[in-house]
Amino acid sequence: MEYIILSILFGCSLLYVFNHIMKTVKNPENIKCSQCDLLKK
Amino acid sequence: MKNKKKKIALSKLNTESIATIENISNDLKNKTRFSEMGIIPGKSLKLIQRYSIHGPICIKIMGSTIMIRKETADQIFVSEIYDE
Amino acid sequence: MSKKPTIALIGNPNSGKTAVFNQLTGLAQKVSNYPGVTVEKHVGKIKISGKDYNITDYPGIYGIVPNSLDEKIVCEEILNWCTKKDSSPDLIVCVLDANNISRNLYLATQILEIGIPTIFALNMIDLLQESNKNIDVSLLKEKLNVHDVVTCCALNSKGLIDLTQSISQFFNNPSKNRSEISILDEKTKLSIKELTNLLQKKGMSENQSQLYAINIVSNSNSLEIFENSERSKIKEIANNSILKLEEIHSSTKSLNSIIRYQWLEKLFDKYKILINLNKTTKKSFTEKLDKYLTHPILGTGIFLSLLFTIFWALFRFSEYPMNLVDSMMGALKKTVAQIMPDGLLEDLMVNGILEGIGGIVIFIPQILILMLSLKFLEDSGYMARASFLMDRFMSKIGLNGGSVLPLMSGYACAIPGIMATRTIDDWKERLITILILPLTSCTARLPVYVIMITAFVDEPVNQTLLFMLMYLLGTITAIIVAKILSIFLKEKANPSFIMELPSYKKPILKTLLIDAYSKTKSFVVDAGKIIFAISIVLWVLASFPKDVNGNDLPIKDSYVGFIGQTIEPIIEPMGFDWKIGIGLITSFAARETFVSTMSTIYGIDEEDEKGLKENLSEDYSLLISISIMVFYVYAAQCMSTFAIVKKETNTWKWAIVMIIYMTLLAYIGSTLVFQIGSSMGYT
Repeated sequence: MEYIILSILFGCSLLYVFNHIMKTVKNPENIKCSQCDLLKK
Repeated sequence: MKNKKKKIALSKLNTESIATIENISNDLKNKTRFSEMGIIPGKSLKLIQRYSIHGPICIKIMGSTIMIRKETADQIFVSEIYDE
Repeated sequence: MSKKPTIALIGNPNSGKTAVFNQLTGLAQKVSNYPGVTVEKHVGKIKISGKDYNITDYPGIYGIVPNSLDEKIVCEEILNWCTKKDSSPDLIVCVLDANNISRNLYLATQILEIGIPTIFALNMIDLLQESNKNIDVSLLKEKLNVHDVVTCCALNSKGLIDLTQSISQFFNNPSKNRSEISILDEKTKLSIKELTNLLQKKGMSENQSQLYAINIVSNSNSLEIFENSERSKIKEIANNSILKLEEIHSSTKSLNSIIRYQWLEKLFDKYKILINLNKTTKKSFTEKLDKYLTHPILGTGIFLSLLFTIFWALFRFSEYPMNLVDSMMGALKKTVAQIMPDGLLEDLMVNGILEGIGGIVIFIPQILILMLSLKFLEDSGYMARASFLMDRFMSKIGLNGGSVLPLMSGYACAIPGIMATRTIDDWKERLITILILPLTSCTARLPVYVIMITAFVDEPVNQTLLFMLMYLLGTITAIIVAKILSIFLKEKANPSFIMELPSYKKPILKTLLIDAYSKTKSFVVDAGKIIFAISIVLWVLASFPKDVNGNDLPIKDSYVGFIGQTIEPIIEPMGFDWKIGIGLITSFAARETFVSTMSTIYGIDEEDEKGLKENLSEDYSLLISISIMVFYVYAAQCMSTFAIVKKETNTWKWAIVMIIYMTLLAYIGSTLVFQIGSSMGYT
């Protein structure tokens, strides 16, 4: 049971990290920096 | 009384002196930027501070304080206004 | 069709436009303001007497023709308002600095000629009245045919009452077109007829076409705001007009400025719009203070002391909050460990997630201190003085004082700094500034420095010195790289740097608080999200595989250990081992995660209560920690930065150049430090 939850969490986190990287590289227009609240139009 | 009309470069003006702009050399790059801010013949200005002999200067013109570089001030010619 | 009413805020830089915007919109802004000049349009909502309005704050401009990239954004939009009528705002609020009414009117009268209903907001009226002057508002309104002229003082919301009332009144009773002022004489109008006809074909009214025509013949930058396809045609006809104009006026260069200022001078001579209550001009507070702050020696000394103090305070005063947060996180972990049933999920929660997030929450106080210091300096008007003092030095490395603000912003975060370079006129100087910006140590590196220093150095004085040394290292490298780049990239010096020094203002508390809130929120949410995700991924990779009996393996044998050891050969010359290697990898998502990562790795490995610092000081040496810090000063780890560089330079070329040179610097720097240090006997 625990393993199921873990796997889901792991999978989602991994996806999220990849997504974050891909979004930044592909869409420089829409980045959000971790230090500031500047949403590029 | 007032007005000796000797023309000197703005860069040679003494600190705290007041002067009227006589003409601006056409060699000045980005002259339009300066003229938009009011640096045009006829306007008077006061030299507030000079950083160093070769450094930038601060002038007060039309109520605002503006800094320009010496190379720019070399191209602006003014006539000093002496009181008395 | 019935959209919310839109208002546009236009005005000179330093006219207090953004203060007006912030007072009106409060938290209801889509984009928060950042230390540094406004380089993008900001959209917000205001509510007046129960009605909602959209309001947009634009970067400051001196005229409707641009001289730099940030101005180009506004000027293009204004042009669109003339040629594509449906995009225009319902009302323009032109913010003027009442203390320099002439120069502000230079822009404001051009805005009037656009023809969209306009309200003049004479800002900083309090300063004007303090110097015993005043403005006859109704006279100004009458002579210029403005819809309304109000005075305001954006220091507090009460000072905007007249403005909000005026806006409300306008929308309750939208005015018909008012007759517009015309500043050109008939001969001049005739000379530019061909050009005005061409512009009218594009959709402009007669008045608008005259306004733009006189700008086009006076300033070749005007062509920038038109589409590429239109430029040659416009230029051709403009040249014809210039020839005709030169028969009347001696030169067309700056003709629009000369004509307009002359017109304004006549207006002020004829009508007593500016009232002088007292003949003697007493020196303002700003002038008195500037005597010291712009003094070459004293001023520079004060500036450097300020910088020193900020960084010193950054390090020293964050200790209490840090310890506080640290103990809170510790208590939280213990509580969770007690509440949750033992097992994998509990382990994940305590040693993975909480450990990871704790590693970041600790640094919020320091980040806030730095960002607010910078914002305070900027809002007070001091930043411009710093630019003045530094200009001479900057020119020696190929830049100018205009790069000071973006570079200082870089100490908080490189991204707004890079965006702030839009105010730099010269493209090459702008590019160099962008390329060296990431070398200014941003707040994301702060956690790394702090942990590395406090783990290995005990003396507070030495700690602070080492801390400042790292910042100094980045700064000095930036200077050297700028010099090198300027030798390769530039032809000759560009002397046309000009900058206004605004009067000193007390930063508005409300703005500072809004800023603090939005930055904390953004930091916690955005950095927090990615750190959360990485903590989970990292914990899983570090906790598996288990051995045959389902027990924990030493971390070295986990997946994470495997990855780390694979890259170890590459990082060995720098004195790094596989654990640090993992930290370096996760830093690509966010530099701050280095601390979280190390915490997690040790948290999983050690069963006892040793803190991260103890673990680090056992495993590594001061030399290695310095090597790590040097790596972080230089390494190209922030993907968002490269994305922004690509966007701002319109090509991947310079982003790639940046990545390459920074990676080289990091690798060489760290290796040198470690190898030389080792050979000298420090281990």
